[in-house]
Amino acid sequence: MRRSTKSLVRAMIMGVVSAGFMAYPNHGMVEAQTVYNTPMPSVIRVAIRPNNDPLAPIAYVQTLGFQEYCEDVLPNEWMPSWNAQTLRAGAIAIKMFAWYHTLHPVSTGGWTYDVDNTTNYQQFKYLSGTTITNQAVLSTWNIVYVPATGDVTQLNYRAGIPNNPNWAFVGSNMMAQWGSEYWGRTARLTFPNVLGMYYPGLSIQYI
Amino acid sequence: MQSRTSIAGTALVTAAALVTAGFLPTKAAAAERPTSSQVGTIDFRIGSRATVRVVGARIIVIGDDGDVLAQGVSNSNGEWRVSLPLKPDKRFEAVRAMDTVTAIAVAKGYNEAVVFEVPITANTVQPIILNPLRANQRNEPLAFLGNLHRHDLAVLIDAYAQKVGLVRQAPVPGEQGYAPWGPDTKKQ
Repeated sequence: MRRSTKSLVRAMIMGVVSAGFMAYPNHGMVEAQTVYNTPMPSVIRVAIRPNNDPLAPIAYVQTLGFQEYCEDVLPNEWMPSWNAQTLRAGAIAIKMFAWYHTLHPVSTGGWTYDVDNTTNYQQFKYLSGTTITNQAVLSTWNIVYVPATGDVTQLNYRAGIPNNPNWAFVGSNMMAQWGSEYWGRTARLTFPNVLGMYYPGLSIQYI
Repeated sequence: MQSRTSIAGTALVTAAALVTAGFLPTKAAAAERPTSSQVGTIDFRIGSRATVRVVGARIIVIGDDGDVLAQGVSNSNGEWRVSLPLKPDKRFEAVRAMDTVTAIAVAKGYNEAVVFEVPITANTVQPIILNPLRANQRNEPLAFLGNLHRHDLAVLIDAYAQKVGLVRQAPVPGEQGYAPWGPDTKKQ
């Protein structure tokens, strides 16, 4: 009885394989998530760790509007007193980073989230948006910075050295925040040029 | 989602109303603080973890001498803005002109929160996220640290580390651009 069942299953599998329906993983066939086929998220799930401590356990997961999230990240990652072009470059980096992670959520310890509120991802403080940084977010909301394929790419960044051009970051696919301020304020570069310093091969697209 | 621009506009109008309503620092408290030509503002934003703004929360601002400098109530956007004399705190001398105060926030349906080291700058935004009261739980006050910017902290540490002659640790493997300070001092 058992043998006949096995035979039947084997025959069914062979039939499926021969018919070409076997679902072998083929990563080459997976459609890339691009700005052309993936809408900008409307909400984001943020795991809240107390005191913005990257190693603290998650207290809760807060769901909020994607734009509000970006507004509550920018003044904590970039200084609100920095140059307007610098803030726009930061606004685009923050948005692309978060967009990428909404497409790659994490489930751990009973929590499912897209990002947390710490420098594990981007520092988020609910209700911390300022007028000037909100303007930077709004004025670049329809702008993305992507490779020619349009892939939603996380734009990474680090603090860098204060009041310094941060040459080590140039062309590294990692923006230096202090470097972006230097290039925006001192060298008077516009935000596309600031981004271009750090992320070679990517360019501005409008959505 | 509410536009932050309109909120900012509302906050300005509200701030003006609060000023005329006498929510600025009391004359006695202000007189006792060292005189300074600089004035800073703190925009308190009161919310809860449920992504809502808390209306009618009372915020009490306390100076480093223990006096109540100001108090007020959050508006329909959960905001209360206050202007205060800014006496630059020498600890932050290397960072920028900054003073610090303590804030207590209380609201119906939420437990109390104390926020220490709230910075006073030209334009500080200080969120306070309250916990809703829970039945059969202790609901005791919470303590938070003020909204000090991560770049300000790094500059503060740099200044004092250099002052006492510390040496940075080795770069962190796989991480670019930042090596934390260590306990060793430069050899004389």
